[in-house]
Amino acid sequence: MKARSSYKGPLAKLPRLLWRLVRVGFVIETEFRTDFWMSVLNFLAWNALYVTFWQAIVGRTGSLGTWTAGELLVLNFMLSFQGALSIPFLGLRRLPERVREGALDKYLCRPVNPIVVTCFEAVYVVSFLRQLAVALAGVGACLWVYHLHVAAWRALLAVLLALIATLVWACLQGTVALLSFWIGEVGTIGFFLNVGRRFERYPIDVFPRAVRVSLTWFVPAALTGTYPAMVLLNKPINLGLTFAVALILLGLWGGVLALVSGAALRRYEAYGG
Amino acid sequence: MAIVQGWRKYRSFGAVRLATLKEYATDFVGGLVLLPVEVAIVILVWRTIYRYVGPLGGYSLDEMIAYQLLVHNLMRGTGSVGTINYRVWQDIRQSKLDMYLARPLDYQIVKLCGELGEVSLRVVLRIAMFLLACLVLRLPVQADPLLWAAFFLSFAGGVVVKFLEQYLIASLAFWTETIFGVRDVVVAISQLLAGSLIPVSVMPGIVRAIASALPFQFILFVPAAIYLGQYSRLQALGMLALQAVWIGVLLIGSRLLWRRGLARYEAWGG
Repeated sequence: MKARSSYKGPLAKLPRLLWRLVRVGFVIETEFRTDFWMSVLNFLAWNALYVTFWQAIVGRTGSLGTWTAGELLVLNFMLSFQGALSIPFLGLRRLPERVREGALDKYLCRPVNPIVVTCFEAVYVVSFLRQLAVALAGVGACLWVYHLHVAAWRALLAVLLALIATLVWACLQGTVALLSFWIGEVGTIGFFLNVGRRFERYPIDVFPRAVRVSLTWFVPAALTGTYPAMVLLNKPINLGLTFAVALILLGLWGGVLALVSGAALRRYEAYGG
Repeated sequence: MAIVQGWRKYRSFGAVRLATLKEYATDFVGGLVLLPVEVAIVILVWRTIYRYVGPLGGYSLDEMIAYQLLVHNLMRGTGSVGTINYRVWQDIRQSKLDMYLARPLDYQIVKLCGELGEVSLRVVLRIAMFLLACLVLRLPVQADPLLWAAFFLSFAGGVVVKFLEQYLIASLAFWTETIFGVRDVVVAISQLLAGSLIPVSVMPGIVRAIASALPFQFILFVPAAIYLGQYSRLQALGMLALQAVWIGVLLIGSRLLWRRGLARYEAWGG
Protein backbone atom coordinates (compact mmCIF):
# COMPACT_ATOMS: atom_id res chain seq x y z
CA MET A 1 0.00 0.00 0.00
CA LYS A 2 1.40 3.35 -0.96
CA ALA A 3 1.06 6.11 1.59
CA ARG A 4 -1.81 8.46 0.88
CA SER A 5 -2.70 10.22 4.09
CA SER A 6 -6.22 11.59 4.16
CA TYR A 7 -5.04 14.21 6.62
CA LYS A 8 -5.95 17.60 5.26
CA GLY A 9 -4.55 19.64 8.11
CA PRO A 10 -7.47 20.54 10.37
CA LEU A 11 -5.37 21.27 13.41
CA ALA A 12 -8.56 21.94 15.33
CA LYS A 13 -9.00 18.21 15.83
CA LEU A 14 -5.50 17.72 17.18
CA PRO A 15 -6.01 19.07 20.73
CA ARG A 16 -9.07 16.84 21.23
CA LEU A 17 -7.16 13.83 19.98
CA LEU A 18 -4.17 14.62 22.22
CA TRP A 19 -6.45 15.10 25.24
CA ARG A 20 -7.98 11.67 24.59
CA LEU A 21 -4.50 10.12 24.36
CA VAL A 22 -3.52 11.83 27.62
CA ARG A 23 -6.56 10.34 29.37
CA VAL A 24 -5.83 6.86 28.01
CA GLY A 25 -2.18 7.22 29.09
CA PHE A 26 -3.26 8.25 32.60
CA VAL A 27 -5.48 5.19 32.99
CA ILE A 28 -2.74 2.87 31.74
CA GLU A 29 -0.07 4.35 33.99
CA THR A 30 -2.19 4.27 37.14
CA GLU A 31 -3.52 0.74 36.58
CA PHE A 32 -1.05 -0.74 39.06
CA ARG A 33 -0.83 1.53 42.09
CA THR A 34 2.09 -0.26 43.71
CA ASP A 35 4.06 0.14 40.50
CA PHE A 36 3.17 3.82 40.47
CA TRP A 37 4.63 4.39 43.93
CA MET A 38 7.57 2.21 43.07
CA SER A 39 8.23 4.40 40.05
CA VAL A 40 8.37 7.42 42.38
CA LEU A 41 10.88 5.56 44.56
CA ASN A 42 12.79 4.55 41.45
CA PHE A 43 13.10 8.13 40.31
CA LEU A 44 14.29 9.19 43.76
CA ALA A 45 16.83 6.37 43.79
CA TRP A 46 18.28 7.46 40.43
CA ASN A 47 18.63 11.00 41.75
CA ALA A 48 20.29 9.63 44.89
CA LEU A 49 22.82 7.99 42.57
CA TYR A 50 23.88 11.33 41.14
CA VAL A 51 23.69 13.14 44.49
CA THR A 52 26.09 10.52 45.86
CA PHE A 53 28.30 10.92 42.82
CA TRP A 54 28.65 14.69 43.22
CA GLN A 55 29.06 14.48 46.98
CA ALA A 56 31.93 12.04 46.40
CA ILE A 57 33.56 14.21 43.73
CA VAL A 58 33.47 17.55 45.53
CA GLY A 59 33.41 16.20 49.08
CA ARG A 60 37.04 17.16 49.68
CA THR A 61 37.51 20.33 47.63
CA GLY A 62 33.98 21.70 47.97
CA SER A 63 33.74 22.61 44.28
CA LEU A 64 34.38 21.58 40.69
CA GLY A 65 35.63 24.64 38.84
CA THR A 66 33.18 27.39 39.68
CA TRP A 67 30.47 24.89 40.70
CA THR A 68 29.86 24.24 44.38
CA ALA A 69 28.27 21.00 45.61
CA GLY A 70 24.87 22.66 45.92
CA GLU A 71 25.07 24.12 42.42
CA LEU A 72 26.03 20.75 40.96
CA LEU A 73 22.96 19.23 42.58
CA VAL A 74 20.82 22.03 41.17
CA LEU A 75 22.29 21.16 37.75
CA ASN A 76 21.30 17.53 38.34
CA PHE A 77 17.70 18.43 39.18
CA MET A 78 17.46 20.98 36.35
CA LEU A 79 18.38 18.14 34.05
CA SER A 80 15.61 16.05 35.59
CA PHE A 81 13.26 18.98 35.06
CA GLN A 82 14.20 19.16 31.39
CA GLY A 83 13.83 15.37 31.22
CA ALA A 84 10.28 15.76 32.52
CA LEU A 85 9.52 18.31 29.81
CA SER A 86 10.71 15.86 27.16
CA ILE A 87 8.49 12.97 28.36
CA PRO A 88 5.56 13.96 26.06
CA PHE A 89 7.94 13.48 23.12
CA LEU A 90 9.04 9.95 24.08
CA GLY A 91 6.84 8.54 21.33
CA LEU A 92 9.40 9.75 18.79
CA ARG A 93 11.59 6.83 19.82
CA ARG A 94 8.92 4.37 18.71
CA LEU A 95 8.55 5.89 15.27
CA PRO A 96 11.42 4.03 13.52
CA GLU A 97 10.10 0.69 14.80
CA ARG A 98 6.57 1.51 13.59
CA VAL A 99 7.86 2.48 10.17
CA ARG A 100 9.86 -0.75 9.85
CA GLU A 101 6.84 -2.79 10.97
CA GLY A 102 4.58 -0.97 8.51
CA ALA A 103 2.32 -0.08 11.43
CA LEU A 104 1.30 3.38 10.23
CA ASP A 105 -1.49 1.99 8.03
CA LYS A 106 -4.15 2.22 10.70
CA TYR A 107 -3.68 5.99 10.82
CA LEU A 108 -3.29 6.56 7.09
CA CYS A 109 -6.94 5.81 6.48
CA ARG A 110 -8.09 8.30 9.14
CA PRO A 111 -8.20 12.08 9.10
CA VAL A 112 -5.14 12.47 11.33
CA ASN A 113 -1.46 13.04 10.73
CA PRO A 114 0.08 9.55 11.10
CA ILE A 115 3.44 10.86 12.32
CA VAL A 116 1.94 13.13 14.97
CA VAL A 117 -0.39 10.42 16.26
CA THR A 118 2.36 7.79 16.33
CA CYS A 119 4.51 10.15 18.38
CA PHE A 120 1.76 10.93 20.87
CA GLU A 121 -0.25 7.69 20.92
CA ALA A 122 1.14 6.87 24.36
CA VAL A 123 1.38 10.02 26.46
CA TYR A 124 2.97 9.35 29.82
CA VAL A 125 1.17 12.10 31.68
CA VAL A 126 1.69 10.56 35.13
CA SER A 127 5.41 10.08 34.52
CA PHE A 128 5.57 13.66 33.32
CA LEU A 129 3.86 15.05 36.43
CA ARG A 130 5.84 12.80 38.77
CA GLN A 131 9.22 13.71 37.32
CA LEU A 132 8.29 17.37 37.17
CA ALA A 133 7.26 17.37 40.85
CA VAL A 134 10.37 15.52 42.03
CA ALA A 135 12.68 17.70 39.93
CA LEU A 136 11.14 20.94 41.20
CA ALA A 137 11.19 19.64 44.77
CA GLY A 138 14.83 18.68 44.25
CA VAL A 139 15.78 22.13 42.95
CA GLY A 140 13.87 23.75 45.82
CA ALA A 141 15.52 21.52 48.41
CA CYS A 142 19.00 22.28 47.04
CA LEU A 143 18.35 26.03 47.05
CA TRP A 144 17.12 25.82 50.64
CA VAL A 145 19.78 23.47 52.04
CA TYR A 146 22.71 25.22 50.36
CA HIS A 147 21.33 28.75 50.89
CA LEU A 148 21.36 29.57 47.18
CA HIS A 149 19.37 32.65 46.26
CA VAL A 150 17.49 32.79 42.98
CA ALA A 151 15.61 35.71 41.44
CA ALA A 152 12.12 34.88 40.15
CA TRP A 153 12.84 36.27 36.68
CA ARG A 154 15.93 34.08 36.42
CA ALA A 155 13.85 31.03 37.35
CA LEU A 156 11.41 31.92 34.57
CA LEU A 157 14.25 32.37 32.07
CA ALA A 158 15.75 29.02 33.12
CA VAL A 159 12.39 27.30 32.58
CA LEU A 160 12.04 28.99 29.20
CA LEU A 161 15.52 27.86 28.17
CA ALA A 162 14.80 24.31 29.30
CA LEU A 163 11.60 24.40 27.25
CA ILE A 164 13.47 25.59 24.14
CA ALA A 165 16.11 22.89 24.74
CA THR A 166 13.34 20.28 24.90
CA LEU A 167 11.92 21.44 21.58
CA VAL A 168 15.38 21.50 19.97
CA TRP A 169 15.97 17.91 21.07
CA ALA A 170 12.47 16.85 20.02
CA CYS A 171 13.14 18.26 16.53
CA LEU A 172 16.58 16.66 16.43
CA GLN A 173 15.34 13.26 17.56
CA GLY A 174 12.29 13.59 15.35
CA THR A 175 14.52 14.18 12.32
CA VAL A 176 16.63 11.15 13.18
CA ALA A 177 13.48 9.07 13.73
CA LEU A 178 12.08 10.13 10.36
CA LEU A 179 15.26 8.99 8.64
CA SER A 180 13.91 5.50 9.25
CA PHE A 181 11.62 6.10 6.26
CA TRP A 182 14.78 5.99 4.14
CA ILE A 183 17.28 3.84 6.00
CA GLY A 184 15.16 1.72 8.38
CA GLU A 185 17.43 1.20 11.37
CA VAL A 186 18.56 4.52 12.88
CA GLY A 187 19.98 3.16 16.14
CA THR A 188 23.58 4.03 15.25
CA ILE A 189 22.76 7.68 14.59
CA GLY A 190 20.79 7.73 17.82
CA PHE A 191 23.81 6.29 19.62
CA PHE A 192 26.01 9.20 18.55
CA LEU A 193 23.40 11.65 19.81
CA ASN A 194 23.31 9.80 23.10
CA VAL A 195 27.09 9.91 23.35
CA GLY A 196 26.84 13.67 23.51
CA ARG A 197 24.09 13.44 26.10
CA ARG A 198 26.41 11.49 28.39
CA PHE A 199 28.05 14.87 29.12
CA GLU A 200 24.78 16.39 30.30
CA ARG A 201 25.35 15.43 33.92
CA TYR A 202 28.53 17.46 34.07
CA PRO A 203 28.83 21.24 34.02
CA ILE A 204 29.87 21.74 30.41
CA ASP A 205 31.94 24.85 31.18
CA VAL A 206 34.62 22.80 32.95
CA PHE A 207 35.54 21.06 29.69
CA PRO A 208 37.94 22.38 27.04
CA ARG A 209 36.60 24.92 24.53
CA ALA A 210 36.31 22.45 21.64
CA VAL A 211 34.09 20.19 23.73
CA ARG A 212 31.97 23.12 24.89
CA VAL A 213 31.43 24.29 21.31
CA SER A 214 30.58 20.76 20.13
CA LEU A 215 28.11 20.25 22.97
CA THR A 216 26.45 23.57 22.23
CA TRP A 217 26.17 23.51 18.44
CA PHE A 218 26.51 19.95 17.17
CA VAL A 219 25.01 17.81 19.93
CA PRO A 220 23.36 20.51 22.06
CA ALA A 221 23.68 18.70 25.38
CA ALA A 222 24.73 21.94 27.10
CA LEU A 223 21.27 23.34 26.52
CA THR A 224 19.49 20.73 28.60
CA GLY A 225 21.25 21.09 31.95
CA THR A 226 24.25 23.37 32.19
CA TYR A 227 22.87 26.52 30.56
CA PRO A 228 19.46 26.50 32.34
CA ALA A 229 21.28 25.87 35.65
CA MET A 230 23.73 28.72 34.94
CA VAL A 231 20.84 31.05 34.13
CA LEU A 232 18.99 30.00 37.30
CA LEU A 233 22.01 30.32 39.57
CA ASN A 234 23.17 33.67 38.18
CA LYS A 235 26.49 32.24 37.05
CA PRO A 236 28.57 34.14 34.48
CA ILE A 237 26.74 33.54 31.20
CA ASN A 238 25.77 35.82 28.33
CA LEU A 239 21.98 35.62 28.46
CA GLY A 240 21.36 37.21 25.06
CA LEU A 241 23.86 34.99 23.30
CA THR A 242 22.62 31.84 25.06
CA PHE A 243 19.00 32.44 24.06
CA ALA A 244 20.08 33.43 20.54
CA VAL A 245 21.97 30.14 20.15
CA ALA A 246 19.00 28.19 21.53
CA LEU A 247 16.57 29.90 19.15
CA ILE A 248 18.89 29.47 16.15
CA LEU A 249 19.14 25.76 16.91
CA LEU A 250 15.37 25.53 17.31
CA GLY A 251 14.82 27.29 13.97
CA LEU A 252 17.42 25.12 12.27
CA TRP A 253 16.21 21.76 13.53
CA GLY A 254 12.56 22.77 13.35
CA GLY A 255 13.08 23.61 9.67
CA VAL A 256 14.90 20.37 8.98
CA LEU A 257 12.15 18.41 10.73
CA ALA A 258 9.45 20.13 8.68
CA LEU A 259 11.33 19.36 5.44
CA VAL A 260 12.02 15.74 6.32
CA SER A 261 8.52 14.98 7.63
CA GLY A 262 7.00 16.32 4.42
CA ALA A 263 9.08 13.98 2.31
CA ALA A 264 8.97 11.01 4.68
CA LEU A 265 5.32 9.96 4.38
CA ARG A 266 5.56 9.85 0.60
CA ARG A 267 8.15 7.11 0.94
CA TYR A 268 6.12 4.94 3.30
CA GLU A 269 5.19 1.51 2.00
CA ALA A 270 3.36 -1.36 3.64
CA TYR A 271 1.14 -4.26 2.67
CA GLY A 272 -1.74 -2.90 4.65
CA GLY A 273 -3.46 -4.95 7.28
CA MET B 1 28.39 -39.81 39.25
CA ALA B 2 25.11 -38.04 39.94
CA ILE B 3 26.94 -34.73 39.97
CA VAL B 4 28.52 -35.47 36.57
CA GLN B 5 25.13 -36.44 35.13
CA GLY B 6 23.55 -33.34 36.65
CA TRP B 7 26.29 -31.14 35.22
CA ARG B 8 25.84 -32.63 31.73
CA LYS B 9 22.11 -32.00 31.95
CA TYR B 10 22.40 -28.35 32.92
CA ARG B 11 25.46 -27.63 30.80
CA SER B 12 23.34 -28.18 27.70
CA PHE B 13 21.15 -25.20 28.65
CA GLY B 14 24.22 -22.97 28.71
CA ALA B 15 25.48 -24.43 25.44
CA VAL B 16 22.11 -23.90 23.73
CA ARG B 17 21.99 -20.30 24.88
CA LEU B 18 25.55 -19.80 23.66
CA ALA B 19 24.73 -21.35 20.28
CA THR B 20 21.68 -19.12 19.84
CA LEU B 21 23.75 -16.06 20.54
CA LYS B 22 24.26 -15.20 16.89
CA GLU B 23 24.55 -11.53 17.54
CA TYR B 24 27.80 -11.86 19.49
CA ALA B 25 29.83 -11.12 16.38
CA THR B 26 27.84 -7.95 15.77
CA ASP B 27 28.19 -7.01 19.41
CA PHE B 28 31.95 -7.49 19.26
CA VAL B 29 32.41 -5.55 16.03
CA GLY B 30 30.00 -2.85 17.22
CA GLY B 31 31.83 -2.69 20.52
CA LEU B 32 35.18 -2.31 18.76
CA VAL B 33 33.86 0.51 16.59
CA LEU B 34 32.39 2.34 19.56
CA LEU B 35 35.30 1.59 21.90
CA PRO B 36 37.33 4.71 20.98
CA VAL B 37 34.29 6.92 21.57
CA GLU B 38 33.54 5.36 24.95
CA VAL B 39 37.19 5.49 26.00
CA ALA B 40 37.49 9.11 24.89
CA ILE B 41 34.49 10.10 27.00
CA VAL B 42 35.84 8.37 30.10
CA ILE B 43 39.26 10.00 29.68
CA LEU B 44 37.86 13.45 29.00
CA VAL B 45 35.45 13.38 31.95
CA TRP B 46 37.90 11.99 34.50
CA ARG B 47 40.87 14.06 33.41
CA THR B 48 38.71 17.15 33.81
CA ILE B 49 37.42 16.05 37.22
CA TYR B 50 40.91 15.17 38.47
CA ARG B 51 42.29 18.49 37.22
CA TYR B 52 39.88 20.26 39.56
CA VAL B 53 39.61 17.96 42.56
CA GLY B 54 42.77 15.81 42.51
CA PRO B 55 42.95 12.06 43.26
CA LEU B 56 39.86 10.48 44.80
CA GLY B 57 39.99 7.86 47.55
CA GLY B 58 43.47 6.59 46.75
CA TYR B 59 42.74 6.11 43.04
CA SER B 60 45.28 7.72 40.71
CA LEU B 61 43.91 9.11 37.43
CA ASP B 62 45.08 6.01 35.54
CA GLU B 63 43.48 3.73 38.10
CA MET B 64 40.20 5.65 38.00
CA ILE B 65 40.14 5.49 34.18
CA ALA B 66 40.92 1.77 34.33
CA TYR B 67 38.16 1.30 36.95
CA GLN B 68 35.62 3.13 34.81
CA LEU B 69 36.54 1.21 31.66
CA LEU B 70 36.51 -2.14 33.43
CA VAL B 71 33.18 -1.50 35.15
CA HIS B 72 31.66 -0.24 31.90
CA ASN B 73 32.73 -3.39 30.05
CA LEU B 74 31.59 -5.70 32.86
CA MET B 75 28.20 -4.01 32.85
CA ARG B 76 27.89 -4.41 29.09
CA GLY B 77 29.03 -8.03 29.33
CA THR B 78 26.51 -8.98 32.01
CA GLY B 79 23.57 -6.92 30.77
CA SER B 80 21.49 -10.02 29.94
CA VAL B 81 21.50 -11.15 33.60
CA GLY B 82 19.59 -7.99 34.42
CA THR B 83 16.69 -9.16 32.24
CA ILE B 84 16.27 -12.62 33.81
CA ASN B 85 13.49 -11.18 35.98
CA TYR B 86 11.39 -10.62 32.88
CA ARG B 87 11.87 -14.15 31.55
CA VAL B 88 11.06 -15.77 34.91
CA TRP B 89 8.07 -13.44 35.36
CA GLN B 90 6.82 -14.54 31.93
CA ASP B 91 7.20 -18.21 32.83
CA ILE B 92 5.22 -17.72 36.04
CA ARG B 93 2.48 -15.41 34.82
CA GLN B 94 1.99 -17.17 31.48
CA SER B 95 1.99 -20.60 33.13
CA LYS B 96 5.07 -21.76 31.27
CA LEU B 97 6.63 -23.30 34.36
CA ASP B 98 4.80 -26.56 33.66
CA MET B 99 7.31 -27.79 31.14
CA TYR B 100 10.11 -27.46 33.70
CA LEU B 101 8.09 -28.79 36.63
CA ALA B 102 7.20 -31.92 34.69
CA ARG B 103 10.85 -32.78 34.13
CA PRO B 104 13.66 -33.78 36.49
CA LEU B 105 15.16 -30.31 36.33
CA ASP B 106 15.83 -27.55 38.80
CA TYR B 107 14.36 -24.40 37.27
CA GLN B 108 16.78 -22.05 39.04
CA ILE B 109 19.84 -23.97 37.85
CA VAL B 110 18.44 -24.13 34.30
CA LYS B 111 18.08 -20.35 34.24
CA LEU B 112 21.49 -19.78 35.83
CA CYS B 113 23.23 -22.05 33.31
CA GLY B 114 21.51 -20.25 30.46
CA GLU B 115 22.78 -16.92 31.76
CA LEU B 116 26.31 -18.19 32.34
CA GLY B 117 26.42 -19.52 28.80
CA GLU B 118 25.69 -16.09 27.38
CA VAL B 119 27.72 -14.07 29.87
CA SER B 120 30.83 -16.22 29.48
CA LEU B 121 31.28 -15.29 25.83
CA ARG B 122 30.23 -11.67 26.16
CA VAL B 123 32.55 -11.08 29.10
CA VAL B 124 35.55 -12.64 27.39
CA LEU B 125 34.98 -10.27 24.46
CA ARG B 126 34.47 -7.31 26.77
CA ILE B 127 37.62 -8.05 28.78
CA ALA B 128 39.53 -8.32 25.50
CA MET B 129 38.26 -4.84 24.63
CA PHE B 130 39.21 -3.55 28.06
CA LEU B 131 42.75 -4.91 27.71
CA LEU B 132 43.02 -3.43 24.23
CA ALA B 133 42.06 -0.03 25.63
CA CYS B 134 44.60 -0.44 28.46
CA LEU B 135 47.37 -1.24 25.99
CA VAL B 136 46.54 1.71 23.76
CA LEU B 137 46.30 4.10 26.71
CA ARG B 138 49.29 2.54 28.46
CA LEU B 139 47.25 1.86 31.56
CA PRO B 140 48.69 -0.75 33.92
CA VAL B 141 47.74 -4.32 32.95
CA GLN B 142 47.94 -6.82 35.79
CA ALA B 143 50.37 -9.68 35.24
CA ASP B 144 49.86 -11.64 38.47
CA PRO B 145 47.96 -14.87 37.58
CA LEU B 146 46.67 -15.16 41.16
CA LEU B 147 45.18 -11.70 40.89
CA TRP B 148 43.52 -12.61 37.60
CA ALA B 149 42.19 -15.80 39.16
CA ALA B 150 40.78 -13.85 42.11
CA PHE B 151 39.27 -11.32 39.71
CA PHE B 152 37.52 -13.98 37.62
CA LEU B 153 36.32 -15.78 40.73
CA SER B 154 34.96 -12.58 42.18
CA PHE B 155 33.40 -11.60 38.87
CA ALA B 156 31.71 -15.00 38.47
CA GLY B 157 30.40 -14.63 42.02
CA GLY B 158 29.17 -11.15 41.09
CA VAL B 159 27.19 -12.62 38.19
CA VAL B 160 25.60 -15.13 40.57
CA VAL B 161 24.76 -12.35 43.06
CA LYS B 162 23.14 -10.34 40.28
CA PHE B 163 21.28 -13.41 39.05
CA LEU B 164 19.96 -14.23 42.53
CA GLU B 165 18.94 -10.60 43.09
CA GLN B 166 16.93 -10.69 39.85
CA TYR B 167 15.55 -14.15 40.63
CA LEU B 168 14.29 -13.00 44.02
CA ILE B 169 12.49 -10.09 42.38
CA ALA B 170 11.02 -12.39 39.72
CA SER B 171 9.73 -14.79 42.40
CA LEU B 172 7.39 -12.04 43.58
CA ALA B 173 5.38 -12.78 40.41
CA PHE B 174 3.74 -15.66 42.33
CA TRP B 175 2.02 -13.03 44.46
CA THR B 176 1.78 -9.91 42.30
CA GLU B 177 0.61 -9.19 38.76
CA THR B 178 3.70 -7.15 37.87
CA ILE B 179 7.13 -6.98 39.42
CA PHE B 180 8.60 -4.18 37.37
CA GLY B 181 8.08 -1.36 39.86
CA VAL B 182 10.03 -3.27 42.51
CA ARG B 183 12.58 -4.31 39.93
CA ASP B 184 13.26 -0.75 38.79
CA VAL B 185 13.80 0.42 42.37
CA VAL B 186 16.16 -2.46 43.13
CA VAL B 187 18.05 -1.89 39.88
CA ALA B 188 18.52 1.82 40.69
CA ILE B 189 19.72 1.04 44.22
CA SER B 190 21.91 -1.74 42.88
CA GLN B 191 23.51 0.60 40.33
CA LEU B 192 24.32 3.06 43.09
CA LEU B 193 25.67 0.57 45.61
CA ALA B 194 27.47 -1.67 43.11
CA GLY B 195 29.86 1.12 42.20
CA SER B 196 28.68 1.68 38.65
CA LEU B 197 29.47 5.41 38.68
CA ILE B 198 32.23 5.62 41.28
CA PRO B 199 34.10 3.08 43.41
CA VAL B 200 32.36 2.28 46.71
CA SER B 201 35.51 3.29 48.60
CA VAL B 202 35.20 6.83 47.18
CA MET B 203 31.55 7.29 48.20
CA PRO B 204 30.54 9.56 51.08
CA GLY B 205 30.66 7.93 54.55
CA ILE B 206 27.08 6.81 55.10
CA VAL B 207 26.52 5.55 51.54
CA ARG B 208 29.84 3.70 51.71
CA ALA B 209 28.77 2.07 54.98
CA ILE B 210 25.45 0.96 53.47
CA ALA B 211 27.14 -0.30 50.29
CA SER B 212 29.70 -2.25 52.32
CA ALA B 213 26.96 -3.94 54.34
CA LEU B 214 24.99 -5.13 51.29
CA PRO B 215 25.78 -7.65 48.52
CA PHE B 216 25.50 -5.22 45.58
CA GLN B 217 29.18 -4.21 45.84
CA PHE B 218 30.17 -7.74 44.75
CA ILE B 219 28.58 -7.23 41.33
CA LEU B 220 31.02 -4.59 40.06
CA PHE B 221 33.09 -2.83 42.69
CA VAL B 222 34.78 -5.79 44.38
CA PRO B 223 35.88 -7.54 41.14
CA ALA B 224 37.20 -4.24 39.75
CA ALA B 225 38.97 -3.35 43.01
CA ILE B 226 40.57 -6.81 43.13
CA TYR B 227 41.80 -6.39 39.55
CA LEU B 228 43.22 -2.94 40.30
CA GLY B 229 45.10 -4.28 43.33
CA GLN B 230 43.13 -2.15 45.81
CA TYR B 231 43.04 -5.14 48.17
CA SER B 232 45.97 -7.04 49.63
CA ARG B 233 45.88 -10.80 48.99
CA LEU B 234 44.48 -11.43 52.44
CA GLN B 235 41.82 -8.73 52.01
CA ALA B 236 40.90 -10.11 48.59
CA LEU B 237 40.52 -13.56 50.11
CA GLY B 238 38.33 -12.09 52.84
CA MET B 239 36.12 -10.37 50.24
CA LEU B 240 35.78 -13.61 48.28
CA ALA B 241 34.75 -15.40 51.45
CA LEU B 242 32.22 -12.69 52.29
CA GLN B 243 30.90 -12.91 48.75
CA ALA B 244 30.45 -16.65 49.15
CA VAL B 245 28.48 -16.05 52.36
CA TRP B 246 26.21 -13.56 50.60
CA ILE B 247 25.67 -15.98 47.72
CA GLY B 248 24.67 -18.61 50.29
CA VAL B 249 22.23 -16.21 51.98
CA LEU B 250 20.67 -15.11 48.69
CA LEU B 251 20.50 -18.69 47.45
CA ILE B 252 18.71 -19.91 50.55
CA GLY B 253 16.39 -16.90 50.48
CA SER B 254 15.54 -17.39 46.83
CA ARG B 255 14.94 -21.14 47.26
CA LEU B 256 12.62 -20.56 50.22
CA LEU B 257 10.71 -17.83 48.41
CA TRP B 258 10.42 -19.97 45.30
CA ARG B 259 9.14 -22.96 47.27
CA ARG B 260 6.46 -20.85 48.97
CA GLY B 261 5.54 -19.23 45.67
CA LEU B 262 5.34 -22.53 43.84
CA ALA B 263 2.64 -23.65 46.27
CA ARG B 264 0.49 -20.84 44.88
CA TYR B 265 1.27 -21.63 41.25
CA GLU B 266 -1.64 -22.75 39.12
CA ALA B 267 -1.77 -23.73 35.46
CA TRP B 268 -3.93 -25.80 33.19
CA GLY B 269 -1.01 -27.64 31.72
CA GLY B 270 -0.46 -27.69 27.98
